[in-house]
Amino acid sequence: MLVPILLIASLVSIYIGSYMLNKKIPVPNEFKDITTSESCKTCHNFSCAYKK
Amino acid sequence: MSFTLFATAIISAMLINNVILMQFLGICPFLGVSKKSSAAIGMSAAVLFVMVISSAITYSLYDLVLYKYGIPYISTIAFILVIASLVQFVEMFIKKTSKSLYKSLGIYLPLITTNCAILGISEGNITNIWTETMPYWQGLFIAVSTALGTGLGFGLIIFAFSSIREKLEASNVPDAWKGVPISLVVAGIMSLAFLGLAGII
Repeated sequence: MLVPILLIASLVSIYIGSYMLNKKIPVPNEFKDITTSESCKTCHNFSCAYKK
Repeated sequence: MSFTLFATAIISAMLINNVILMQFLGICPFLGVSKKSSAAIGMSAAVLFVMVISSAITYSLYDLVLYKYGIPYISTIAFILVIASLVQFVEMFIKKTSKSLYKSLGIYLPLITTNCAILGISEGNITNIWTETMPYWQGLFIAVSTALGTGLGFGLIIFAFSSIREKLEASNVPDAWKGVPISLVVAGIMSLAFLGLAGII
């Protein structure tokens, strides 16, 4: 019973860590304007780094 | 691990069991990111990239951890977490190392977290390929080959569909059929056309 809990907990912590790290890394300035792309209008992903 | 095995896995996943037209996975990006060919190419490249890596990781996780410890019932949740983390790492890596790759893939990477085709292929690798008796490396090779073929099949269809949609924009389509209705009719016809490839292997 302990193994699945530990595994899920470790995977969740890896995800949270990677999400936080990714958020800390800024999007290069020259690519900030790509949020105007029509592709952005169909996506509601909460983890998107482009979301303002 | 012969070339025949590799070619069969690629052709089967790409043309016969096409992820979009036969398995109906990844319909959201198929309809949402197929208005322009350039966007379709970027999305396809990002899907191919993540699909191959995630298949290798999820197959290994299942074979070496989940099955070994008798916990295959948590495979779906474990695979979702692996894919979500992988997308974050890939985006981070590309953001830091390659601006040109980031320009072409960057915006599509977050979309992949919610692309059910990636999870579908990871689950499909376990359901259709993995067996207790199959050696690990052989299973991994087939799983990665299948993922490669599936990604290429996804790209082929989404690019063909985007090209047709671009052509339709300039065509004289009746008002009631403009936009999504005519796109869905085209998708249905494409699906029927691909059904004709079912007997090639």
